Amino acid sequence: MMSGSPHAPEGGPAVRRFGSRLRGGVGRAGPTGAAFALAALIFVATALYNPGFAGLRNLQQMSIFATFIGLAAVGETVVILAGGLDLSVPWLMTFGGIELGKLDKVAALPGPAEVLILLAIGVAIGLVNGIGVTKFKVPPIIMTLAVGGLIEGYLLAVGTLQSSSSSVPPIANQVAHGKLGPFPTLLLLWLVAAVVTVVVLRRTALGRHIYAVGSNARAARLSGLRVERVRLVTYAVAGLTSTLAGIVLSGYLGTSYLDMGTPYLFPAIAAVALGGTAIAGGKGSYWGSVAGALILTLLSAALPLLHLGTADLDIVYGVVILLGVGATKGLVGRTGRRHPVTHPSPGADASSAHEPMSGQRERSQL
Amino acid sequence: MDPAAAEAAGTARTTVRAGVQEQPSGLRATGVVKRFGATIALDGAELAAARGEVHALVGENGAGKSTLIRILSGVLQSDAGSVELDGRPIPSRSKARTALVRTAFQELSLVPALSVAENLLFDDLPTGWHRRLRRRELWRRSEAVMAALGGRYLDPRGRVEDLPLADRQVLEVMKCIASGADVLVLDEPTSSLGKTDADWVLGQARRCAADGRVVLFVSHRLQEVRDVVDRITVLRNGRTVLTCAPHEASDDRLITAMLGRRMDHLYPPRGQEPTGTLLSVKDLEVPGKVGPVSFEVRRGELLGLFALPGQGQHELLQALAGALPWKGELSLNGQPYACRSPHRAATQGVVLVPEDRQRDALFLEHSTLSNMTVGALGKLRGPLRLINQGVELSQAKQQAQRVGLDVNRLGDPVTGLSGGNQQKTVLARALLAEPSLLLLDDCTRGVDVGTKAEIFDLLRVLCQAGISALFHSSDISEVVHVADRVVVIARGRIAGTVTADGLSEERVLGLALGVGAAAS
Repeated sequence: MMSGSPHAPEGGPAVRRFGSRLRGGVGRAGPTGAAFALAALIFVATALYNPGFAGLRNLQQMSIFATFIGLAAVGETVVILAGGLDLSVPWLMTFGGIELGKLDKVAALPGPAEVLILLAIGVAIGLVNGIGVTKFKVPPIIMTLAVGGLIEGYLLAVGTLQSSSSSVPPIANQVAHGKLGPFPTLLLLWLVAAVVTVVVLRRTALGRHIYAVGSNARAARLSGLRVERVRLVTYAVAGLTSTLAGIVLSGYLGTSYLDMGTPYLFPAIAAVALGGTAIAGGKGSYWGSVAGALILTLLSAALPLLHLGTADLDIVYGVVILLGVGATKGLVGRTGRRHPVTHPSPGADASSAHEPMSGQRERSQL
Repeated sequence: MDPAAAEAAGTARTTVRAGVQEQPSGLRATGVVKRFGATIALDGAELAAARGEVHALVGENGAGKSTLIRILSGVLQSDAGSVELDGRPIPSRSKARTALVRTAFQELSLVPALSVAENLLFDDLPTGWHRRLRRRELWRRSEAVMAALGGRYLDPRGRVEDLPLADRQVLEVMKCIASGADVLVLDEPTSSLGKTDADWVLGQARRCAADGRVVLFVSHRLQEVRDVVDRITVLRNGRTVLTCAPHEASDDRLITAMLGRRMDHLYPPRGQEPTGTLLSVKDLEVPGKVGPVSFEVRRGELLGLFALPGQGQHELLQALAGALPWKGELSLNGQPYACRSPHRAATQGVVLVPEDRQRDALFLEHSTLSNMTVGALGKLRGPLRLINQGVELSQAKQQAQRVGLDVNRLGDPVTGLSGGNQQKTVLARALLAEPSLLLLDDCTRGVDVGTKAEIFDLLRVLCQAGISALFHSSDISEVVHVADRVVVIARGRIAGTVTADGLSEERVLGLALGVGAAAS
């Protein structure tokens, strides 16, 4: 919505559309456009080399794979935008898959109820992450990694008692394999999740507070935002979407197992970075992460066509991601500070994004 | 006026050359042009400062001072024009230039996580075997540097981020002077300093000039400029509009040159007598910093707060804003005022405008509009609790007009605004929260005189409308001339309260120094 955009006389640019305003009003295409362009490039190049790549079946397959990354990246995007990081994503995914099967076996409730219960547990685990980070000031990397470890431990301990619990309830199966016309249900689910995420981030107070907290937590607190609550919510969202990603993944695989979520740790974060979201927070968008998820999926589908070995695949994959992040960043230009600033920009280093707050500086009692 | 300085923008290089021969010794910038997209920051700026001279560069925020300084010090490249030292062009490459031109930046260029000594000797750290830092040597040398400068001492081992703003600013100046560069640029070096430190800086500036260096001095405090400099250059809209000696320029002439119009007053007249108590503070204590203090703020009152640096004034304001834990009895409007977080304070109508706007107030990645509305989004919601962007924009425009900010700049990234406009953005944010009490912590720091006058006028209008303000400034004349009443703080306690009829700088300073008798 072009909310009554004032026309700009020669002095300054007009108030632009909201997305670009939040990203600091960057004139050119922006990182999201660049990421989508990169995805399109990979797609077209591969399709020219191997026309079967653009076939309907392959497209459906790839869109399903992209959905798993994309759903996990919802939470990761939101957490990173607020200046945090969630490394518990893969374990939450595994948890979602395994526990749904177990719950179905034990309780035999209606499918949607089981899914809702599990999602609620996912949110609760996300809240544990959030409380650790906000109340106990544990750095996000440590906290979320520890929670991931705890989940794995729990699954191992309980899983061995019921080793045959790898069945998947029908609801997950139906969602994962269903189609609406030519579109996989999963793709539509992702689309809905994406639209909701983007609208929440751009058009709600919570979303805008997430950007503010990620940009400068100190300033956010002093301007009356409830910084800890905002962070708490982001981890809860990550708990929700990671669990959901795990549930549909298990439905697609038709089984669930301990390492099910592990391959998604890297892509969930890489998708966010590829989409141009600042890893230190405060700047970026979920559409960027969508483009990132597409790039990653296209890559892993396209590289085997070049008859590369697994080792080569991993190397190419890594290099492209590094270059990709560089490219999308480069296109945004140097929007950051042009002059030295005395304070570390909020979370100047992603790893300690929260530390300046927890330490001496922030005499916090929020 | 210097004939070269009167040259118009974008003149041919030949005239530039011709200008050089007149004054071979010293720094000379000619026809400097710099564009940022559609904005022209510098439009043929001229500057000539001889060796042995302290040369003031003054102008409104946004006049192009900062841009010129960054070009001089090699942080930015100019689009046209030349910079020469002693008749020879200075290479524009950043490294070569910083060897000759050193700048103490207003926004400071210190590394917060490092020690004072490491920052001071940043370019020349003593290293030994395998480039390892020789700490003892580091402490020793930094002590020697500070002793040579004289009059000011900072613990070399202290971490910079733990220092108060004033000490950080002193360190920035020390670092600049100690570099040994031929040209020193001091960008508002006194903006957060009290009298003693400011005098120290001015003395250092004079001493460096006496050593045959060029000292470029940027300040908004005209009195200071007048006292210390040999010549003054005024910039307006990216051009040099006046170069003269201090005795040739009355305050009036300088201000007229800076603003391009006459300013009828800096300080607005006082308003009507405030009525009733808004905030009552009883035995407020911030452990180790403040207290116990008791005072009250009346409805519609502009209550001044003055203290020498580091007397607990910031902590007092932060406690009242809910940003620091406190003990005591507070009541607002007769109700207990429970501000255990800035959020709680804001919901009760108390809003802080922090001292350090870049660190504590601004979201540098975001637009001016987002920076303004971020605290009031709850009130801008429409159906489905979505933010109504039309309402958001119109509310922001309304506040922008109130504080005197160009509404066409709302879409600009906030980093692109001048210091004065950034401060107006923060003020607009505070006003959007519909406060009953504004806590203003040095809100005129690093703000030009025209903008200051606008801010003072605005405060007066707000108080007339029944809003109260607790106004702290490190500039004593502001406090004395703007406030209805002044509370003076010394060592965390109230040293005295001065009412309008007895207000004078001597009285307030006397109380702050502990030499005046406690009054009314």
